[in-house]
Amino acid sequence: MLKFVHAADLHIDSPLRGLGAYDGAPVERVREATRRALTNLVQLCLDERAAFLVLAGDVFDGEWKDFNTGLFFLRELNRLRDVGTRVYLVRGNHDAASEVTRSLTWPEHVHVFADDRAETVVLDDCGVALHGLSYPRREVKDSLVHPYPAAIAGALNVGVLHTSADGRPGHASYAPCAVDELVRKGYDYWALGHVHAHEVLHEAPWVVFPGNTQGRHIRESGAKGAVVVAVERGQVASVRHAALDVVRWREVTLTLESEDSVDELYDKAKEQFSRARDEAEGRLLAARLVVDGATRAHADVAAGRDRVVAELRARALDFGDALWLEKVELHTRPAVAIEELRASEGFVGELLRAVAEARRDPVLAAELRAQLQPLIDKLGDELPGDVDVTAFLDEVEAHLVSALVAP
Amino acid sequence: MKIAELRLERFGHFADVTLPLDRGAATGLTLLYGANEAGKSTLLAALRAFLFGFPRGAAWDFRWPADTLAVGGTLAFADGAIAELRREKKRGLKGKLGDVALTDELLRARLGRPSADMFSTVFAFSLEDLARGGEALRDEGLRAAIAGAGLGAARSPQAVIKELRDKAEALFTVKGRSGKLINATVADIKERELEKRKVEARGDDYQARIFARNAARTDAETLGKRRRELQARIGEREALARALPRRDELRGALAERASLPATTLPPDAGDEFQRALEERARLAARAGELDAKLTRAQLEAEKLTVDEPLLAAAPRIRPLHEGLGRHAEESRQAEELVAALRTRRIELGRQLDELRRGWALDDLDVLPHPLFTTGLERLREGWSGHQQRALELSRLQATQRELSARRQALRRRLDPPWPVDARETTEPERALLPVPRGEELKHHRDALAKHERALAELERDDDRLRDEQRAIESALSRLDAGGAVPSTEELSRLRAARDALWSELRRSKVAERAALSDAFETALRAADTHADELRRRSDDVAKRAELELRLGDVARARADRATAIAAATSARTAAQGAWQALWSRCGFAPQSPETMLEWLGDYGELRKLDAELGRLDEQAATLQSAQDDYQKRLGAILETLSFDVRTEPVLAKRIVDTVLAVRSDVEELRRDEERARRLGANVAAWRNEVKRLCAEISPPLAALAMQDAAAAMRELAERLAAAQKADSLRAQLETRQTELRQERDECARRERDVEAALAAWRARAAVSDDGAFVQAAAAARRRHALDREIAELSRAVAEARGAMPAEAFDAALETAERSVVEDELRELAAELERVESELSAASQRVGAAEVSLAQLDGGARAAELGAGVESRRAELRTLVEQYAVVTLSRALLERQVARFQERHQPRMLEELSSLFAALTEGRYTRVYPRYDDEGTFVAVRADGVEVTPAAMSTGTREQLWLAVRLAYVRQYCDASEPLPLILDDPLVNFDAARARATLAVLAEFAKQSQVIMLTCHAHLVALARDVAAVEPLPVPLPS
Repeated sequence: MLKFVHAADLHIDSPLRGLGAYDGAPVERVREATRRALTNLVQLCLDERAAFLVLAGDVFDGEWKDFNTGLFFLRELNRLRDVGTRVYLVRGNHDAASEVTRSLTWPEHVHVFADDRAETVVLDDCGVALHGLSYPRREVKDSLVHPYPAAIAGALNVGVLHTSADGRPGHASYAPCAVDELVRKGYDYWALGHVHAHEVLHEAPWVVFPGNTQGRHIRESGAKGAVVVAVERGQVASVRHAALDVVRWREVTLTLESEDSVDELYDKAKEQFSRARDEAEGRLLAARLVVDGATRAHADVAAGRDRVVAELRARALDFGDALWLEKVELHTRPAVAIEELRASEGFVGELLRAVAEARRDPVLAAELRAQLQPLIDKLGDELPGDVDVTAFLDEVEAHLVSALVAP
Repeated sequence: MKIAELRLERFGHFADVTLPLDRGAATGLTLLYGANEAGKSTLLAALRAFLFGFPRGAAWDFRWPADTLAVGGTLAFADGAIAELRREKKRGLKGKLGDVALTDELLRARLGRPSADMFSTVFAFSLEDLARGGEALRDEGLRAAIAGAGLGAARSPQAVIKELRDKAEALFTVKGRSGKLINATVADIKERELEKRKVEARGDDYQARIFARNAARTDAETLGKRRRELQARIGEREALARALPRRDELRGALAERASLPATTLPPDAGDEFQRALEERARLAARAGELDAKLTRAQLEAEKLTVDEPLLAAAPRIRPLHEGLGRHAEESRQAEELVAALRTRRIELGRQLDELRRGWALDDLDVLPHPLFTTGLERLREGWSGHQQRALELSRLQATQRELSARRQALRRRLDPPWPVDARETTEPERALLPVPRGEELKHHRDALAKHERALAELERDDDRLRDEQRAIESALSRLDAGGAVPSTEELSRLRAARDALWSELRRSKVAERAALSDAFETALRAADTHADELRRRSDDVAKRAELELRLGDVARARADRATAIAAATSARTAAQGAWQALWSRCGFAPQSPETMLEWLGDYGELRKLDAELGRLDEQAATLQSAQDDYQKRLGAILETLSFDVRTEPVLAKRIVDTVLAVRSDVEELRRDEERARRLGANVAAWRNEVKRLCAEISPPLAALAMQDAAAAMRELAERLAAAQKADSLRAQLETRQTELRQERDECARRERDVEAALAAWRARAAVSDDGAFVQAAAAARRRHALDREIAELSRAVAEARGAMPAEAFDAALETAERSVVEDELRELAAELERVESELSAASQRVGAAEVSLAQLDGGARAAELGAGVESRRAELRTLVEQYAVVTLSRALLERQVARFQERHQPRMLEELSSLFAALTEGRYTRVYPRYDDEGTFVAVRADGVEVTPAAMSTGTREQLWLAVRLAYVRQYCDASEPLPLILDDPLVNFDAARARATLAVLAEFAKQSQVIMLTCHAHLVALARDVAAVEPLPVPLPS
């Protein structure tokens, strides 16, 4: 039986985002997470005695400049050289823009597919033909499938392509293509890259996104790793996802009942943490806690938000270095009938109606946004994108009700 | 909302009082009338508590316990809803609003969420609050509450706005960094980015470092090769330079050797020849000396003469001469000894005569020898022991006397209880008493003490109860002295009569609407007096009941005590009996346990003394026996010596000592006499020998010897010494001559040998004289030296060649010139130095390049810094969200407050002006706020003069504050659920006209909102009746 490993989107040394530091946070376990995921990938190849490793693009972040990252990558790949495992790599959108990729001198056992034409590499000893085409530049808006060579008869044909396929939320549309287009090519296996969530778009032939090897923020939650492909008698026998990540992201939602006090909030949060921690299979869990509900506890939340967050972080510390509480979003509301308040006569009713108006009225929204302009100017590039005040209005409403009405 | 009914279940001094406060649709004005101390302030507090809850720590529990305080009532809302509620201080609110359970939150919401403080200051206030004027309204929170009054908010929007602004400023300001979280975080992110960029390694930088390292390595290799070449050439030149001087020297040596003749002489031949010549000269000189010495020795020997006969007698002379000193000493001793012996004999005879008249030395000889050895000697030896025993016996007896005295004293102390027998002899009692052990005594002691203490305590307790009983009886008597205290039932009857009277009064007077008259006042006063009397008597009744209860308790307690005392007394008696039984076998009655403990100690002491006395008796008997034995032996000796056996021991000792001493001295005397005789014999023998010898050797000496043998002996000895000396000298001279002759012969033999050696050297050198040989030897020496020199030079040249091939070196050496070689060396050295300098620099460049390359180790420092930046960015995002929420909340709130105020504020000022004008009967026409920090209002008189509250009279000022409140109330009630206005005697300082005007305003006000006014002034009641057709509701008297 032949095995090979398919991975993509390593993004080595890309920083994990959203992990604000606090006392007791397990900083050491987060350190070098992407590097350790790469080490785990190499170890997976060694453990599985993979004949070769396919990397379908985005080894580094495009804007990452530190050459030490490249040296580290080569050092890890050289472990595969020592056991005769070859590496086949296409450059993705990030690689095309990466200074590091451009400066690296690739060792002999690593083949980087050209970017000016689709290449085929035939492994006679394995009976495998690999076809690949690297990105010539960062943005590739057209499908790259067409230039790929035809399948070679008698060989297991593996196509390596960095693509957004038919589109996935959160990923820019690069080298888009339809799944049918890939299927029609006649290959046995498409080793795709670019989409960070593991997904099997098609079986027989296989069209697979392995996902990235290490989640970098809350939107990249769940297990991350690579895919081990087993080949028997010239056909793909199995495709198995192997988790390689060392930090696992998860959003934990907690809805409080109306009679729940702040103590119940802490207790329930701790229960949720415990369940989530168990699901992380021994990895560090980077959890975001979202608390909502119309509840008695809202009074304490409104009165001392920082204290409540600190208490929740203290509960998280009970799990030692197994849990990093990435963020706490407190969206509780007072246990009062806001709809009634909003409809009532009087000052508070008028105020709440004004808040609702701000959601609909762009002029009022613009007035409100102007209040934030000094901050926007100060932050400059630190504030990516435009500020949408309507995103804050739910919290503004709860805040005003707590301040003015709730006891 | 109106308060339809208020029930005071337990509040202040009120109990079970119901007040119907809603006077119906005709007017909302309710007037509560009550005298001072009737409870108006209590009612005001009760109304506040009813609506907003019991405040903490209130003083309204002076009559009823705090946890029983309760008020209740009925509320009628503007929308027709009716709420029945009851509020307890301990358990809070319970009630219903229609069919719905009423909670605090629901009530608050229905009331429009006013705060208790705001209600107390704006809606339910007293004259005191009015008198405080603007101060009461100046409180920040209250002003905000008033400002927000009617807004339906629990907190003032202004306060919330301020809070939001403060929070926002803590997060961010346009300028500044310290203390502003967002500013600081942004600055920190920038710093971290800079730091990250510093540690980033670029790809082209990496390639450049690789290139630099390789170039440095190439340079270093090239320079190293050049250096090696130069070093080789320098080596060759140095070899030539070393070899050249040697070459020149070698050439010179070879030339000189060629000029010298060949020879077989060794190099040291000349030295050897020279040494032989010197030896020959020395030997000749020595021979001459020896001949001279020999001649002198012979002459000297011929001059000596020796006395032979004297020498032959030397063996006889020497011993006699040696005995000369001994002879003199012995002669002297003999004379002295004879004289001394005579004196001693006389003395000893005298000593014996002193002991017993006529007793002589010879008498001692007849005494048996054992008498002296075993008798007298042993007595003398035992005398010191005898003396010691006597002393010991004396001390022992003294101790016995002392102990006996102590024993007698101790024994007397033991009586009582142990009586001393009058017929007791001096012999101490020896039998033991069967006394109990110390632990038993202590046990009985403790038991008896415990019984005593228990009994004493019971008796003390009984005394106390008796005193208390007397006190209670006395108090009861005093109560009765104040008049018969009614029973509890009687008291209840009195109360019922009072209540019936009240009901009758109320019904008849109020229902019939009869005019209030003096009779009402009189009846009212009588009822008050009756109520007071009832209250006082009721206290007495309660007190009496309490006293009687207590008296009963005391009597029972005393009965219990009596029983306990009897039991304790019985126990004590039993313990005393056991104590007596403990001592029954001793034959006497014991005293108290404490005393007997001490007695037992003394008894033990007595037993110890008895034991000690017994021991001393034994010891004395032993000593006395020894003394008696000695005395008996002494008596026997004295009898033998024919002395009186009764002689005193001291004198007997002296006799014994003297006899023994004299005997010893006599023995010694006899020995000395024998010695003196021997000495005399020795002296005579020596003298005779000396005489004989002198007669043989020298007749003149013989005559001297007859007179003085010692002098003759000395003379003889001198002559002998002189003869011996001459004989010795003669022998020395003969020995010396022999030695000289031997040495002279040796010297001649050696001269012959040296001469032969010299001849051999000359023959070897083929010369005939010594001079020629010396020259030949010098030439041979030089030739040998040159041979050595040539060999060394050749070796040096070979060494200087070093690694150069021999042929090439020899060829070069043959033609080289020193100056040329030295010039070449200098040039090569300079070149080498230059190349080495360049090589060192190149090596450093290689090292630096390696170090620089090693810095790019694949480390993750930049990634770590990047992670730190992202961490701070995450914190920044959270802060920005917080800031956005706070800022947007503030903006919306400010916007809304401005709009609200814009709508309502002018109307409120109009209302205020209108109310104030009405209250002051038009004297003031307008009021406006000054918008200063104090919130000052300014009133404008009809004549246009502006007057501040400080410039107004008390009454007018109070009217102003009343108008302000009324204006707020009006505004509030327009926007929210109307709340009742409750005033506690606010019109005190108003004159009649203004009071009338105020009442008119209040009556008008009451058409829309409930107004409850409390007063204690009858004239105001009349005025109210006149202006508003209001009948007062009496404040119920405290129950």
